Amino acid sequence: MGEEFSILDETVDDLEAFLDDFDGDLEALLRAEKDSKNRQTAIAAIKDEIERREDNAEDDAFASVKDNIHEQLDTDEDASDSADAFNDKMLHVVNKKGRQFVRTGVTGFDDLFDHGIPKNAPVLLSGGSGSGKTIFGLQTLAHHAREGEKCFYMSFEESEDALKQHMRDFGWDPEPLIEQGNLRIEKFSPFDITRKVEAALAKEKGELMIDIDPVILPDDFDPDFIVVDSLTAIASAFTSEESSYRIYLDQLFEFFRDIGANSFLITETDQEPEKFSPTGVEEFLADGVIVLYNFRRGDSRDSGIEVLKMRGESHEKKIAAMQITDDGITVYPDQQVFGAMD
Amino acid sequence: MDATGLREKLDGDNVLFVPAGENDRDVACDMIADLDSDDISIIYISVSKPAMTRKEELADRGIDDDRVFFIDGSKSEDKVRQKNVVYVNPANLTDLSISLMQAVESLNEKRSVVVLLDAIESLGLYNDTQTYQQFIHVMCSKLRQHGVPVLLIGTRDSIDEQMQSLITQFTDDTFDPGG
Repeated sequence: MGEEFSILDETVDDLEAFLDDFDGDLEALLRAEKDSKNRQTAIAAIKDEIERREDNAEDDAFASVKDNIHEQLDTDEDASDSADAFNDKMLHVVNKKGRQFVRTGVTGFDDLFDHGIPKNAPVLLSGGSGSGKTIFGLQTLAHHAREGEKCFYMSFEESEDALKQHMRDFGWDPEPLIEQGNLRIEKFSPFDITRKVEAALAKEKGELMIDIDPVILPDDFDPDFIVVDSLTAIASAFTSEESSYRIYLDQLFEFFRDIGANSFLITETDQEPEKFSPTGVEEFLADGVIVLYNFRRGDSRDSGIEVLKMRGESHEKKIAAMQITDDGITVYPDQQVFGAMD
Repeated sequence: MDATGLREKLDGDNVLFVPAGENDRDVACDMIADLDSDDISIIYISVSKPAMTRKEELADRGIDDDRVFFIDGSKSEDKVRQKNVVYVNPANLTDLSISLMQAVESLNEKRSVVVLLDAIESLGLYNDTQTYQQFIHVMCSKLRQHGVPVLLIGTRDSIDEQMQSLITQFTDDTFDPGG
């Protein structure tokens, strides 16, 4: 490894000198990464930055440095593995226009996007029973909480203990994340919400604006990522006319955009759905819709996942194969689901 | 039946159709025997017979199966844990495909890989025609991209005209073990 580090150090130094002509962000990135004593991570970050600028990098010298780095990374198995690990762990990426995107950390899933899920986007996580929606939500939160972000799982169905047990089953021990203050899992009654909303609506006599928070976040907790499990449970608790739920939804999506958190809102659908939410309105209000499938194949079941919609981001338009293993969900972006939706 | 000369027929990433007759029940073993060498790994997708039965047959003939990775889609009840056997449901071609590509990617780094599918018509027992034909087509295309040759074994009398026409479209040659 000593010799490999030496080569990588040299490359960093060469690149640092070269990048003097470029803007301060790159210098800061280099310094920060170098100071972190993680040379391979620095190379990976530089590589990403170079790729980000690829379209503008008509300068032959820049291209040559890039080629050298790629060559060294490609021939250095450890360094290459380290770069992959870095990409897998990365929570956020920024595109050329400075827009921020969030990565889920679900193996293979983020490769369905050019960058990731746009920051602050409320996204529906839709699918039938047993399709993996809750696992997907927990896996994403575990990944973000491990990296120091504040994550909040709001359950309107399963108990806190059951959800923690799910996490343990997949090897994502929730206790340290909870002790560090990075993860909260709480159970709510959907009827508490509907009572407040319907009372407020009655008071306002049907006015569209109501003055309540659509969900209650803990006072001392400012989440970066929220999972609501599920909108279907909330919808079914609304006893009055459907318009109350629609007004509530409008407030809910607005609320999530305002607080600056990414959110997954789980909805229960048919196994091979044509509608992805309780009323169909949710999919228009959400910035994104991710659909998880659980196809029947004779005496077997086959899983798939699709990014149906993601405002502001290019994504694969196909159903990719997915497996739920002992370690959680793995998505195979290049693997089609045979016989899907024939 | 005779698999001699199979190795010469394999040319990089080609797809060969192997029409087996009613009396060619051991054609897969013959081909594995012919391909057995230090520089080749064989991925044997066994739908017509359990992997453990095949392993015993190979052992009886003194053939070491250390370089054979079995993907058992025979729905055998006898699922014995072995380092070189993975079990898949033949009705779930997605899982079969994932297992195959993972095996190819990990084995191809060390040695040349050859894939045997035995037998194509058996997949038709568990899948509709369009789906299993699509699977074979996609599988062959992906393996070509990886530079991996494929041997599609099919029982001559069990393959209908539609399947024969499809096989003709995406195979490069035929290797007839009967002659």
